[in-house]
Amino acid sequence: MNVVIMGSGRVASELATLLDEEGHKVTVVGIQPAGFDNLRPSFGGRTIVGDATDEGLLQKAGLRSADAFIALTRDDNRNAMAAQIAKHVFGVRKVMCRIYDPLREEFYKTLGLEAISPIMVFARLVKGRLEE
Amino acid sequence: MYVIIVGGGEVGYYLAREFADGGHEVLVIEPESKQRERIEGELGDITLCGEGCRIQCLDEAGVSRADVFVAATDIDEDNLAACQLAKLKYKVPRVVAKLNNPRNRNIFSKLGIEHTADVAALVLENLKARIPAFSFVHLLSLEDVDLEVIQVSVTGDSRLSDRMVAETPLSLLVQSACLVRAGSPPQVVDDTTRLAVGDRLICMVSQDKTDELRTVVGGVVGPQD
Repeated sequence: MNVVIMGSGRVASELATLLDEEGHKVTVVGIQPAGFDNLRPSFGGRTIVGDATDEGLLQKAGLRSADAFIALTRDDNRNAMAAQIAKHVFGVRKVMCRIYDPLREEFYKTLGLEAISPIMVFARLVKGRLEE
Repeated sequence: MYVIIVGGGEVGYYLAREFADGGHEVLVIEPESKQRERIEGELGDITLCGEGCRIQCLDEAGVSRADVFVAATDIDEDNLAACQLAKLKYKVPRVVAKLNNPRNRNIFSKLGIEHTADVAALVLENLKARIPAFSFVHLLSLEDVDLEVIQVSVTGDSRLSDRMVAETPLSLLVQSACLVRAGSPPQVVDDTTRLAVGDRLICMVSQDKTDELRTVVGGVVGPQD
C-alpha cells in the first residue's frame, strides 16, 4: 500500500514506522524538519518538509497515486482541510483524520470523512476496562 | 440582519463597524482579549470570547439564527472549518470566507464554500488598477451571476485603439461596458463607440470569457509604451 501521512508527532511517527516495517511505501509530510526526529532510525520511507494543506505539496507527496492519506497533526482544522483535499481533490480511496474535539468528530463524519477523536477512543477504552 | 464575524483582526473589526453603523446586529467571535477590547471600546458589547470553529462557541453565538456568517481570521484552515460548520450544520444562508492564500480559492469552492474574498488578489488588482502599465485589471467577481468586472485600458499597441467597438473582439467577449475618458462623463459603450488611446473601459464579462479577454487586451504593456 502507498500511504501518505501528514504530521510528524509521535502517533504519526509510530504509524509510519509500523507501516514501513510491514513493507508499505510510506511518505511522511511534516511542517517542521525537527519533527522527523520522532521517526525510528529504522524508518526507510520518504520524508517531505512542507504544509500538507497545500495542494501543490500534496501533489509532490504523490497523492495522485496514494492508496491512503492520514492526517495526524495536532491541529483539528488542518487535519480536516487536508483530509478533504485528499478525498475530494485527489480522490484518495482511504482517508482518515484525527479530530481531537469529539463534537467536531461527529460533524466531519456527517461530511463523509473518517474522523477519529483520540479523546473518545481513550475514554471508551477506559470505560470498557472499568466495566470488565 | 444578524451578522456573525469570526476573527476580530483588522478585517473583522472594520467589517463589524460597517455592519454596526448600518444598524445590523453584529457579533464578533475572537479569543484574544486585546482585540475584543478594541472592538468593545468603540462598538459596545458585541464580542464573544471563543473560537469560531468550536461547536460550543457557535451554539452560544446563536449561529442558527444568523443571516450572514463571515470567517475573517488569518488562517485559512480555521476559516474553512468555521464556514463549513456555519453552512452545513447551522444552515446559515450566506457564508463568506476570507482567503489568505490565493491558491485555496478552488479548494474552498470544491469543499462547498463558494463565496471567498481573496485578500492578496484584491490588494494586487487594486494596485494594478492605479498603474497605467496594466491593460487588464480584474476589479470584482460577482459569482452568483457568473460575472467578472474588469477594467480594460486602451493602449497604443493594443488591437483596440482607433477602432469602433464592433470591429474589436470586445463586441463578442464583453456583455456590457462603460467608457471612462478623461474630460468627459462616463458613457455606456455600444457597437459604434470609437476607442482611443488612454480610454478605460469598465467591462462586465462572463466568467468563461475572462481568460480570452485577457489574451486579447494583453495583461501588461511592454516597456516601449
